[in-house]
Amino acid sequence: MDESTLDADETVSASIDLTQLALASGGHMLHMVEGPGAPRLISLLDERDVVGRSLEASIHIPSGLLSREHMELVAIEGEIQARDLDSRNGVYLNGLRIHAVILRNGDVLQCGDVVFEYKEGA
Amino acid sequence: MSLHVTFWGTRGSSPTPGHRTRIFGGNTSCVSVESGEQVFICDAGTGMRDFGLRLMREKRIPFEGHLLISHSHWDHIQGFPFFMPVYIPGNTLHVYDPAGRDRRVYDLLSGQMRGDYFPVDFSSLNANILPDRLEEEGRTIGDVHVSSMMLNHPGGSFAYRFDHGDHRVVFATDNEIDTELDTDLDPDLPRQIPARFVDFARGADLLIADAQYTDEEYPSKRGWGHSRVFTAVDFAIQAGCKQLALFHHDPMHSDAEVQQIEASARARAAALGSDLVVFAAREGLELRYP
Repeated sequence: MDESTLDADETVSASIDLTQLALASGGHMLHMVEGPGAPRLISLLDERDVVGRSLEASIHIPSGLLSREHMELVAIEGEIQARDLDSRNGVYLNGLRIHAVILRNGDVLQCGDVVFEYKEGA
Repeated sequence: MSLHVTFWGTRGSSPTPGHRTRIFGGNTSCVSVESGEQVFICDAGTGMRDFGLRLMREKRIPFEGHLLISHSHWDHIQGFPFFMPVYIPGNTLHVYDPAGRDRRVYDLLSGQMRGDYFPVDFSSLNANILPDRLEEEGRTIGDVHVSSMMLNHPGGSFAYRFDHGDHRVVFATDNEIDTELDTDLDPDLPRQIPARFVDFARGADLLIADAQYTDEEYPSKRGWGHSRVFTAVDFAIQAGCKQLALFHHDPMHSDAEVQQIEASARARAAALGSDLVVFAAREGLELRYP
């Protein structure tokens, strides 16, 4: 069934199902709750993702407060490590400026005006 | 060059693996402080194992490190035999005794690898493990000046201070400041922290401080060698520190309880009119100054 044939409730339901499916299959996700393009769900399926304003960034976000390559997200033994790529405005974990951290479910990351909530997969 | 701090183990007393401690971690005390090629390791608790694995994964060979342990209670030395780099030829680990003592730490670390305790003898380690000592006035190693101070803990414990340019990091765990306070004071009032502690940590970018017990828990734990959370907050404020890492989490405290403690510590700092940044130390967290 084409998404255009769904009514609004069915669309929401279908997108929740996809999120739950991704989480249940072990996929970790970022829920972008603030910033250009929010809200947005981002599956972390690669060994390394980069958040930045560069068009080459795998998680491209057109914000002037982001560095071209602002933060990397690296899979290490099933967990995701977030690391500041010497960005100008820094990476904040639950309000604390950090260099790197192993993410846990519910962590809030801020890069410039972009805010993510981390959703840990199964 | 910056000071790069990584928390490998933040728990006190006993390792506490499991889902209740997944956020802040269950490994016991181990923190690395790095500046360029200089690697300082504060304590050899069970978190030291993960640090060794990181070094191996990053192929940092040959590795040269400086081990500074606060004291030799189990939760501060048990990770040493599992620190992979000490098994690799060509690596070097300097093991320091603070306050000018000779070889005591080295002998304790090697003693815990006798056959009664561990299957691999200390003499089988292939790295160069060198006893050394930190003079009372401290020592400059590379571009970092390292100094120590005796803390208040049964059997003794030492704090370490790392100065690099304008930046300062202080590691001060297993320290019961509270027995040196006037206990009749209103607990909501600022606690007058002894000058020797304040002077040692003065102006630190980061103070990593023992904060094992809440005010409610402390009376039954008095004399066990650990501080109250609010006392650690007052210590950091009076020393003019910028950040305070609550450290040596009680093994009975779940993640949810540590989060409550963190929130109460932040509220205390705010109530005292301070802009101190307070957070609960957690495994895998890396900070950089500047």
